[in-house]
Amino acid sequence: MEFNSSPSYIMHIDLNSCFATIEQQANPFLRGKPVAVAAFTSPGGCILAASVEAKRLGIKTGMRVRDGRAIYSGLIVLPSDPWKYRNVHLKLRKLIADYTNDFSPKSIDEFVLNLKDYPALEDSPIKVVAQEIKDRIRSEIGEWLTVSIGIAPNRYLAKIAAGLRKPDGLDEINKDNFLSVYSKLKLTDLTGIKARNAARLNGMGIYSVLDFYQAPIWRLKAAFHSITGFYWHARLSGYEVDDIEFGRRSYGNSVALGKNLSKIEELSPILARLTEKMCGRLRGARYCAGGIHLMLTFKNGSWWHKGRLLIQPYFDSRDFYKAAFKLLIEADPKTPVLNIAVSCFGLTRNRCLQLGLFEDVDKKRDLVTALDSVNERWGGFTVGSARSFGGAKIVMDRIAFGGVKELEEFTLNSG
Amino acid sequence: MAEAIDEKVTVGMSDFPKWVKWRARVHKIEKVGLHYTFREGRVLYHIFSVSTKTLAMKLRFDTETLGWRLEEVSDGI
Repeated sequence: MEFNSSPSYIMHIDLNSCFATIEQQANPFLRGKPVAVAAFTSPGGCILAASVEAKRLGIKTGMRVRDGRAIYSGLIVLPSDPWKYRNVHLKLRKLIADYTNDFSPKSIDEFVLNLKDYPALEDSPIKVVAQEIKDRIRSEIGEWLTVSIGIAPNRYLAKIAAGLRKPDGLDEINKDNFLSVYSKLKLTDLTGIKARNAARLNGMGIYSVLDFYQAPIWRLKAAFHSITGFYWHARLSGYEVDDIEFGRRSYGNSVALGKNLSKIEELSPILARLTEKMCGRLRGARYCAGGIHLMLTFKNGSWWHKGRLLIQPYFDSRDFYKAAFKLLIEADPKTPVLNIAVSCFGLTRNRCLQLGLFEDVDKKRDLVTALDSVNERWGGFTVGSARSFGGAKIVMDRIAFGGVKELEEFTLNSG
Repeated sequence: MAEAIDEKVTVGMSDFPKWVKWRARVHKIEKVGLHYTFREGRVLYHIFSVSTKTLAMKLRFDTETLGWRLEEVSDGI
């Protein structure tokens, strides 16, 4: 397959060191200093974002605060402030909408734009448009905010191009330079190729990105044992295979526990809080769910999970909690739990539910609707189960990693 | 270092906050780093991350009570 010779219409925008840079934008005294935003500021807290200055010292996302401070004792560690980041996301979204309505947020700090046939490209080449977007972000949202922009004929290569130079990069991968770009990359520099996939490719005699591009499709299919090999070939040849938006199939909430908790009576308030949070979002989108899933990961590295179909689709948090609590009893944790994740699946619209023989479903729905109205007026968890209030200090507002679905919710709610 | 304050303050506004009166002292605002909003229930709050010559402050404006609170003060160390 020849490399796609059509012009580059896809732009990938990546806000550099998102949370940390936004904190530096908000507080000018933090600018130019190594800053980290962490889930918890205590030594065991996980670093969610490191500023450009911190990254230069070797401090990375995913490190513990204590490890970051071991590298640089003067590291400034801040707790996360979700609404600050969500608002910057919304401002970026608004700015991008001036150029195209064919765009999608990939996470809180990443957007993909398709500019094909949009007026923005009528007067200016795509690189000029990209530079204009960078300039406008600085002048209209915050002068400390920088983005790396990648341009390519497809989404995948646009993302790779955005990662070529950070911070503040602007690069294009096209038919004229792709060989030169590929020759400078390692296999594991490619998004989606980590140690295991690299080993698969090595097994077929593919050791570099150039080998990967030049490999015949049959060899790639053999390496991945599926059609995936063809998709990789198309991606690296500049053809679009990632223009797919997946619909929502579940709702879930999870929390990392800062404390050593393993008893059912300690975990159940947290589970109740998570379940209520999840159900509030489920009902807000006018869904019922026909199944529930619980996952526990333990501090010793092991994990337990189980999903169960419910006897009928539910909408009431109490029903979901009962089912989730049964799963927690089954899990019977013996060692401290690191993470609890509860989710519901089998989504259906909640218009016509089976009437119950022993309970009045309409009455139950009216009660739940009334409680949701109170919470909507006065703020989440103004009214909730007494049990769930025990989990309030642990289940806090967080931004999910890659939480594109969560972004849809707050975008709708912010209007 | 950041310190949570949560005290009522008076703020002089003209498009953006220009000064803050906190603990009987007026602080002139040099820069508005970021302005953002969020809702708790139906109440809309405006947050202004501002800085004076020596301090960074987080100010919260409650659109229901029309009152200002100083949420946090930081010196960036």
